[in-house]
Amino acid sequence: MGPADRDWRSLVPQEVNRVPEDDIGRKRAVRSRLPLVLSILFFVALGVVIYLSVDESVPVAAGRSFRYKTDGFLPAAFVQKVISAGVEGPAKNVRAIKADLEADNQVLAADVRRRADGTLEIVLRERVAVAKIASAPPTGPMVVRLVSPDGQTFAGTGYSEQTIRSLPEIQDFRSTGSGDQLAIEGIEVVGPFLLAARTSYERFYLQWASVSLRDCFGAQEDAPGSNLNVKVRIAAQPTDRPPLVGIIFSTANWRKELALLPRIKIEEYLRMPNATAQAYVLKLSIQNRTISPPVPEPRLVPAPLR
Amino acid sequence: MTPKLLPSLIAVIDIGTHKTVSLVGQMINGKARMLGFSERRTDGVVKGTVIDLERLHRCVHEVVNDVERSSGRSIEQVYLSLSGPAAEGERIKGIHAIPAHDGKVTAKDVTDAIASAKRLEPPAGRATLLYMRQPTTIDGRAVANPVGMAGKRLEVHFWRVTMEEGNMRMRVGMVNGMSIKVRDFILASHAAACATASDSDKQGVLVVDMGAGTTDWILYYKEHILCAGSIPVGGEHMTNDLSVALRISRETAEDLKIRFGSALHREADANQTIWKDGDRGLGDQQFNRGTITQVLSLRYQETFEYVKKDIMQHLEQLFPGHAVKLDQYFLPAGIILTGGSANLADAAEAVHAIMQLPTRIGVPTFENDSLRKPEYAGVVGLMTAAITDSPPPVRRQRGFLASLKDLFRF
Repeated sequence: MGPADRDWRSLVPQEVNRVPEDDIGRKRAVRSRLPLVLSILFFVALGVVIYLSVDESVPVAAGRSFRYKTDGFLPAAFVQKVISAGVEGPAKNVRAIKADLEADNQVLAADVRRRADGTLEIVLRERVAVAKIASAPPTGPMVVRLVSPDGQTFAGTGYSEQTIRSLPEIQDFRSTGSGDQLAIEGIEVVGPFLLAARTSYERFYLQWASVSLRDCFGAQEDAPGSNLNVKVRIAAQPTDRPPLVGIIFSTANWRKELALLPRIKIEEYLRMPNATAQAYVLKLSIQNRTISPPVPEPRLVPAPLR
Repeated sequence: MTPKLLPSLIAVIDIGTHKTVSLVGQMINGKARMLGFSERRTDGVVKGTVIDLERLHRCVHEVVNDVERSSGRSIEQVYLSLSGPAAEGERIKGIHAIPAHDGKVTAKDVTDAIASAKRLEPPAGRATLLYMRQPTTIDGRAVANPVGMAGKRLEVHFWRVTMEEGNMRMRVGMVNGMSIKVRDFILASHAAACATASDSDKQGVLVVDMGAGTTDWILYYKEHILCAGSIPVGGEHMTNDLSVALRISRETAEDLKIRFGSALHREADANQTIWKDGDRGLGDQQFNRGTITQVLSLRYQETFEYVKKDIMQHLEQLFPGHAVKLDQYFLPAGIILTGGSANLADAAEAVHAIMQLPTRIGVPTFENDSLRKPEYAGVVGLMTAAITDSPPPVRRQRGFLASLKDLFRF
C-alpha cells in the first residue's frame, strides 16, 4: 500500500445503509422520506380529482364499447339503449349516462367510469323485486309491474316469466299515480314484510300466491282489522289432506309471527283425524284481540266457504 | 443561462468529553446562518477517549436526530471535530527543484511539490486525516503565492494530522451507521481559532481550547498554523481534584466549581466561608472558599504549564537549535482561551499570570446569541472552518418537486 493510500478516505470506503440500524435511525428515515411520500400523494390526489372532473364532463366517443356488470337482471341491451337514447345519442357524457340509467326505477345506483382505453365501465345495482302488482295504466291493457321493498314499481326488464310468476301478488291495494310514479299505500308495512320473508323464510315465501292489503288499514297498527292476509298456493300442497289456503299476519307483530312460522307443525295438524274441514286458514294473532278471554294462538281455523 | 446555485447544507458534530454538540447551517450572503442546533451530555467518552462505542453511538445519533428535527433537514454528510491526544500532528514538507530554463515557478511546480509532500508516509498503523497548509518558501523565503516567482528550490509545508487507523475507522464507522457520510475532519483547536481569532490575530496567537477532558492548543504565526497539540487534562480534572480535596461528590464539586470557583487564588478567599445550598439547613455544608480556589488554581496552573511544555517541545522540533521564546514579540495577539473551562472566573487573569502573555476569553462571532459563549467556540468554529477550508459543493437550483417537498417538511 503506497503512502497516498494512507489517507482516511481511501482506507474507509464509507458505505452507508439507506436506513440506519436502530430505532432512532428508523425514525429519521421515515421523517426524511415523509415529504417525498406526501408530495407523491398530493400529486396522485390532484390527478384523481382532475381525472374525475374531466371524466364526467367529456362526451363518450361514438362507437366505443362498454363493460357492464349488474347484480340483477337488466341486460346489456338495456344499457346500450340508454346510452344511445336521446338527441345526443352516444355523445353523452358519463354524468348524463349515469342519470339516464338511474331514471329507471329498476336501477338503484349506477356507477359509470371511463377507462384508460376510452371504453366505459358500468356497474349497476338493481332493486330487488319482492312482489308484483297488476296495474291499470291510463290507456291500454292491464300490465304487471314488480314491486321493490321500498315501494318503487318497475317493469321488470330481464326478469324471466317463471321468476315473475313465482312472486306473490299484492292485492286489494290503494294507489296513486301510474307507471314509474305509482305509489302503493301500505307498502311501508308489506314491503319489509315480504323482504324479510324472501330473505329468511324463502321456503314459505315461495308458496305464497298473494298478499291482500284489504285489512291492512285499521285505525291503529295493532287494532282489529290491521292484518296482512296471505293466500297460499293450493296446487303445491299434498292432496291427501285439507289444504292450507291462507295465513293471517298482524301488521304490528309480523316479525315475531314469521319467526314462529317454521316451528308450527302445520303438516301434522292438517293430518289429524279431526281435521275435517275442506280447507284451513292459519291465524297467527290478529283475531285474538276481539275475543275475551283470548284463545291461545296460533290457530288453524276452517276457511270460510265461498 | 447559468443555473442559479444554492448553498448546500453544512452539518458539523463536535464530540467532546462532556457534551456532544451539532450545528446545521447554510452560507447565505457570506454569513453562516444557523438552521438547527442540538446539544446532549456525552456518554461513553472519558478524557477524550472512547470507552463505550455503543453508548456514544446512541448519544451522537440522538443529537443528529434532534438537529434534523429542529432544522427540518435530513443530514447526509457531516464534518467531525478532531480533538484529544489521539490526533497527532507533524510538519511535513515537499521539495521541488524549479527547472532551469527560466527559473519561474509554475502551477505545475506547486502541484508537484504538494504531491511530493503528500508522498511522505505517515507513521506505521496511522492514517492521515488532514493536511493544513503552512508557508510556502522559494529558496528559503516565505511567499504567499509562489506562481510566477523566480527561484531554484520550491518548498511547500503542511501540518499533517494523523490518527491511529482503528480509532479513525471506529469514528467513521459510527457516523456511517447513522446513514451519514463523514465529509471531512477538522481539528477542534483550529475550529476554535476560526471562530474567535481574526486574520490579524493569526500573525501570532495561541488558541487554547480547554474542554472537560482535554486541552487542545494551536499556534498561529504569520497567518499559518505553526503547530498544534493536545494534553489529556481538562475541566473534569479540576472537578475531580475538588471532589477529593473536599471529600464531596463529583456533582457537588462541579456545582461548587461553577458557583464559587476561580482560576486565580487570592489571599482574601481564605476569609470567605461559603455554603453549599445556602439555606444553612440540615445537610447544608460549609466550605472555605480559599480551599476551593487554591485547588482549582493549582490545577489550572499545572495544566497551562503542561501546555507550555508541549508547545516548547513542538517548537524545538520545528526549529532545532533555535531558542524560541513564547513572548509578546512572537505572539503579539497573546492567548485566546476557549472551551467550557474558560468560563471559570478569573481564567484569563490566571493564564496571563502563568504564561506571561496577554490573554482573553474567546467568544465566537455568530449570528445566534445563544452560541456566543466560549464553550461553543468549537462547534461554531467547525462551521466556519468547514465553509472556509473545505466547503461542500454548491447545488444547482432545485426542481419543483423539491420545492413541493419543502412544503411538507415538519
